[in-house]
Amino acid sequence: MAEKIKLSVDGILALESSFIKVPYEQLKKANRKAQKFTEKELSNLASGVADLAKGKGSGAKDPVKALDAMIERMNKLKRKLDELKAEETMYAGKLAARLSHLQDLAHIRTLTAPEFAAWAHLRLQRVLLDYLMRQGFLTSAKLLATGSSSHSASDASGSVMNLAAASAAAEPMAVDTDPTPAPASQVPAPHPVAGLVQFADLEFFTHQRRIERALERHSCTEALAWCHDNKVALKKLKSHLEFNLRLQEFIELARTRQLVPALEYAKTHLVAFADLGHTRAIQQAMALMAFPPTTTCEPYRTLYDSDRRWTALAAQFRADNFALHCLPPLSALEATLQAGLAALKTAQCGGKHEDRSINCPVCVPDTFAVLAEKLPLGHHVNSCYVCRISGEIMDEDNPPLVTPEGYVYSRKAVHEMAAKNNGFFRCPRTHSIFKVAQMKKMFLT
Amino acid sequence: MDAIAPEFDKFVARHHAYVDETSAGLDGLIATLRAARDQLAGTDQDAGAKKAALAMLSLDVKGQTSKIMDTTKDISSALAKCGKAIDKKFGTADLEWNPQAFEGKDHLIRQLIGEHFIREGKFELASTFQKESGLSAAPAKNSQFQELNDIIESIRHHDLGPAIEWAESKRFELNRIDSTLQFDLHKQRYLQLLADAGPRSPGLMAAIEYARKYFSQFPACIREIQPLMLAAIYAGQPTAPATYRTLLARATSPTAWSNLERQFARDFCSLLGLSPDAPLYTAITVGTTALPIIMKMSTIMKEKRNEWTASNELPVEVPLAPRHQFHSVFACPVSREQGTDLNPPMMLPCGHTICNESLKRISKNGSIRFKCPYCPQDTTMAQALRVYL
Ligand SMILES: [Zn+2]
Ligand SMILES: [Zn+2]
Ligand SMILES: [Zn+2]
Repeated sequence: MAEKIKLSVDGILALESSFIKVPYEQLKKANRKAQKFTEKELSNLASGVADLAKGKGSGAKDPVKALDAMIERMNKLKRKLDELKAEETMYAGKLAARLSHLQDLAHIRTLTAPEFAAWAHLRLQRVLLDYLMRQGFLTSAKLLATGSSSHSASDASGSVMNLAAASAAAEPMAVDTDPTPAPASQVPAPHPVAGLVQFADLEFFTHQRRIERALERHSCTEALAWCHDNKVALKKLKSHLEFNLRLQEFIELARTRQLVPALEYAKTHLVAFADLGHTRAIQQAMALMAFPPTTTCEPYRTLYDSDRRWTALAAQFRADNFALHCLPPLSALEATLQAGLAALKTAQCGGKHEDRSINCPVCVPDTFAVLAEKLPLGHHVNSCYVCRISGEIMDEDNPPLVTPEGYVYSRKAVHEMAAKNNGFFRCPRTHSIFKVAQMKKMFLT
Repeated sequence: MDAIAPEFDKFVARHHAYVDETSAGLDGLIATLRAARDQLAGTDQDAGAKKAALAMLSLDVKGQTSKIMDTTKDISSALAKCGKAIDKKFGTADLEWNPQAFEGKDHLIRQLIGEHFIREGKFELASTFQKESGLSAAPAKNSQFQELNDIIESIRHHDLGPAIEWAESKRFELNRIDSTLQFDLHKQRYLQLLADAGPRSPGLMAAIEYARKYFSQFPACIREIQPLMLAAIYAGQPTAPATYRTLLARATSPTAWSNLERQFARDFCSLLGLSPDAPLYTAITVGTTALPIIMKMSTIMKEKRNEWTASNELPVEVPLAPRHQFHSVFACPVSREQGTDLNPPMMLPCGHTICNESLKRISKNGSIRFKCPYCPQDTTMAQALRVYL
C-alpha cells in the first residue's frame, strides 16, 4: 500500500545543534578550568622550588615550612582536579548518549519504521524536558528526567500508547518477514526514558536560573563572574552585557549618592569600555552624578528606571547565554509543534462536528485547535482519501465508493455495513439508505 | 555525524588516560616533595647536602610538572578537535518561520503539556507541573489512563496477565468493534509458553493445556489456530521449517511485542473514543520531519524576500505517513488546486473527479459537451456530481 517515505536524516540533525553544543560547551569549560588551574599551580610550584634551590624568595629561610605549604597546595590541586574531572566525565557521558541517540536516526530509513516511532517518542520527551527547563520549571523537569516518583518510575519508559507506535496496521506481518528473529535470550524492549537524564541540561539551566535570580535581586556579581568565565566567547559575540552590568553597578552607586566610590568605580571599570563604542554611554553615566535619582530629566530618568533596566539585564544575559550554546530563542517544542500542526492542518480541521477526526491533533478543541489558528494549511500535491467510517486510507485495494448523493466511503466499510444490514448501506452523514449496487466507484486521482 | 564519532571516541579514550595519568603524576609529585621535605627536616644533613637536595628537587619537579602539563594540553587539544568536528556539523539552528503563530498562547502550551502528562499516566508529574507553572486548574485525572499505562507497562515487560484480564472484562465491547485483541493476546501467551518450554514435554503440555482452555473460545480463528498448534512440535528445535521458526520467534520478537502494545492501546482508546496516540506525540512526530522541510523553504523564501507565512497554505508538501492522514484532501489533477467549499470536487459520470473551476473551464461554463481529461467518455457539466470526501 503506502509507498515508503524516506526519512531526511540530515535535515532533522541540522536542527539539533544545541542538543550537542550545550554539553560540549560545558565539557570545554570544565576542561579549560582544569587546564588553567593546573598550569597556574604547577608553574608556581616549579618556580617556588627553583627559588628554594637558589636560596631566594620568602621561603628560603625555612625550606621545610615552604615545602609543607607546597605539598598542601598540591593536595588542593589534586582535589580540585578530581572534581573537575568528574564534571568532565559527566558531560562527556551526556555527549556520548546524545551523539548515539542522533546516530540511531541514521539507521532508520523510513517514516513508517517502528524505530522511528520510538525515536520520535524519545525526542518528544527531551523537547518537553527542554521546554520545562527553559521556562524555569526545574522541579517538573527533574521529575520528568529522573522519573523518580513512584508511579513514573514504573512508567519510566514513557508513554505507552506512543511508544509502540510501530505502525501495526501498516505492517502487520512485519515479524513474519523478519529474516533474523531475535534469539530468546535477548529481550531488547526499548526503554528510552532510562537515558533521559543524559538528555537533561539541568546543570546549565540551574546555573542560568541562579544568575537570573541574582539579577532580580539587583546583584550583578554572579552575572559578572559569568562574563569573566566566558570572556572570549562574549567578545566574539560582540556582547554588551558586561558593560551594561558595570554601568548598572555604577548607576546604583549614583542612586545612593556615593559619588566618590562612583567616580572610582567609573575609573576602574567603565573607562576600559570607551574604545568599544561606549563613549557616549560613559559620558551620560558620568553626567548622572550631577542628577539625583528623582530627576525628571532625560536620559537620566531612564537610567535610574530600576525595574526596566534590571529586567533588560536579565533578558540580555539569557539571550547571550543561549547564543553561546546555540540555543535558539524559540524552544524546539514550540517550533516542532508549529511545523507539525501546519503540516497536519486541513480545511476540515475543527470545522463541523462530522468533519473532525478524533485522531487528528488539530481537531482537539480549546488547545491544539487554537494554537493552529494562525498557521497555514498543509500543502498537498496529491489527493488523499480517508474513510469517514473506518479511518482507513482508501487505495486500489479499498477504493472509494460514492453514494448517489455524492458522499464517499471506503468499499470495505460499505460492504461491512451492508453485510450486517441485508445489503443496505446507511450514509452516516445524510442518513439516507442505499443499496450497495447504487454506489459508484470513484477513480483515485 | 561520521566525522564527530571518531574524534569523540579518541577524546574519551584519552580522557581515561588523562584522568589516571594526572592523578598518578600529582601523587608522584607530592611524594617527591614529601621525600625532600623529610630529608631537609632531618638533622643529620649539613647545609651543603641540603642545598644539593634542593637543587635535585628543583630539577625533578620541573621534569614532573612539565609531564603533567603535556598530558593536560594533550587532552585539551583532543577536545578542541572534537569541537571542530561538532562545529562543522552543527551550526546555529534557526527554528523560527512563523514567529507570531503562538504569540500570547503560552498558557495553552502549558495546558496541553499538563494534559499530555495525564494522558501518559504521569499523575505526580502533572500535578507538580500544574503547581509550578501556575496552571489554573489541574487537568482532570483520568484513572483509565493509569490503567492503560499500567497494562502497557506490563506488556512491555512481557507480562500479558493484566492485558488478558482487561480484554476478558471488555469482551463484549471488543467484539462490537471487531477487535481480535483477545485472541491475539492468548496467542502471544501461548507462544511465550512454548518458548519457555523448549523441547521439554512438561512445559509443552502446559502450553497445549493453555491452548485447549482458551483457543476453543475463538472458533472463528481456526485457520490461525492450526499452525499454532503444529508449532508445538517444533518448539525449541533450531531445524524447524521457516514458517514455524518465525512463528515461534514471535514470543521474543521486539516488533511483535511492540505491535501488540500498539494494538492494545488502539483498542483500549477506541473503546474510550480516543485516538490511540497522544495528540502531542502525533503533532511532534509529524513536526520532527516537517520542521526541516519548512525551515529550508522559509530560508529560500526569505532570500527571495517572499512573505509567505501570511498565505493560507504551506508552499511545500510535507510527506505524511498514512497513519498521520486524518482527513481527506482533494487535489485537482487538472489545476492542482486543493478542493474547498467554494471550489469543490466534482465527479464525472465516468468516475474521474476534477475541481469545479476546472469543470467550468473545460465545459465553457456548461455550454458544451466535453471529453473527460482522463478517459474517452464525453459528458456535460450538469451530469457532474458534487462529492463530499
Ligand atoms: Zn483535523
Ligand atoms: Zn481543477
Ligand atoms: Zn473519465
